[in-house]
Amino acid sequence: MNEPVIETRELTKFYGDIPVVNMLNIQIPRGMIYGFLGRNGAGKTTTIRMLMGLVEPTRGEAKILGQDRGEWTPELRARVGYLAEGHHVYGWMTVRECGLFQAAFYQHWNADIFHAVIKHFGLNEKAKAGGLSRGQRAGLCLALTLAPEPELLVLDDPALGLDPVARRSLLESMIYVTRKQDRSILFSSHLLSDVERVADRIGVMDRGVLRADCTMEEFRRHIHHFVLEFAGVPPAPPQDFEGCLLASFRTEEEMSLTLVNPTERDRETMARLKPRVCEERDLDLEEAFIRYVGDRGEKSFLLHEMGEKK
Amino acid sequence: MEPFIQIVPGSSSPLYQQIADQIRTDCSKGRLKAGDVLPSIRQLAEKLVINPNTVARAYAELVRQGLILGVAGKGFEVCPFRQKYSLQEQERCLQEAVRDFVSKVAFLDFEQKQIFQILEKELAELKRSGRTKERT
Repeated sequence: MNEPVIETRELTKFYGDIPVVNMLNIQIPRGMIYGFLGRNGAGKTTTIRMLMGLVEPTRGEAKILGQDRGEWTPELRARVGYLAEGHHVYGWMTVRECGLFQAAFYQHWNADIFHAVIKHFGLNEKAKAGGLSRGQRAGLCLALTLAPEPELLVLDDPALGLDPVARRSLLESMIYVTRKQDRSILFSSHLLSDVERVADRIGVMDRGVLRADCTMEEFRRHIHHFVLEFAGVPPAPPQDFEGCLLASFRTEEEMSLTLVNPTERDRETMARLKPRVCEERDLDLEEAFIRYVGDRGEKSFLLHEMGEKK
Repeated sequence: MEPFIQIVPGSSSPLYQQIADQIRTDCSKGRLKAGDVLPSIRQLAEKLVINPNTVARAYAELVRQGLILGVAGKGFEVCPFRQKYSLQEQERCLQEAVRDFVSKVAFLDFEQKQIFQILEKELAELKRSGRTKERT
């Protein structure tokens, strides 16, 4: 039973001549909560839709619960719970009717779970789904997804548009699901503090490419942030670092550099600039993420340079 | 006593570290005593709404340090302290703690003497709860 619940090999999708997902290789072992990160348009949803069989890959393979694409039976699909982006519901049904309708598609349906989640999100079963708030709709969708007790949960940006209270309920539900040891979750999100709370591992997509696949600790450990103080205007940032220079930022007396895997020689390179102080600072997950997938290159607040541009 | 633990996601200190630090503080202040049982990994994870593996990691670190012990059928409990860190590791931790301390007091208008007095008082309280070595 120790095979991965999700496994892709060189999974690729082109729209026109643009690779929106490019040679993606991921493996998610059973029991893991995997946080899928990336900016809008990075390819997260397309990846998830390929995994769910809703989008045909241009090439590459995707296995779910050990089964290749194309061999997915309705029984297998019933073991996967998929929450699509946007919390869509049939607005003319009541909450209760939504549950009955969905239940008809499944051989196994745990009504207790459905009711528990509904209650957890404070929903009235007689309410029309169309009149629910965003957070309530998310709760309803989650209840519909969890009631069949899927082994694998795939949640596409489940926290989108939720207020802090609803978000907390969502996270609580996710933690609750993993009470059973063999349950796995793949979820995408932009909320790094949520990801930090619940994820075992993260994958960072950037323009179709998976650029990190590690624990949050490792991710943070590889990204280093240096602040160099100068007596006057700092020099231009060096371009010959051995590690990857993600971003540099200059103000009147300060230069900050963010590097992936800086080497000893890189530290010497910085020392050669003769700063008054050179300090290495810890980045939190959000800062590390922003620097990692944000725009590369130099940004500055040098007043005199701004003036010169006129 | 049930330890009161609060976490702040999005800080530069990882969540497991925050949990371990708070339990460590509770032990050093005597709020947690030998024999006190910690909440189970699952319980604490659900209460804090975090991944159980994060709690497990915090507990593992405290076990490694010799502050708590896994007891079959009971979970984790605070044990009579036995040093498990190597001297080298202890020195590293002390260095780190002192550096942190110094940077925090650097811009306060106190004389060294005053700082030492307060520090001594705090350390004396530790001694009472049996957490520092008596120098003979």
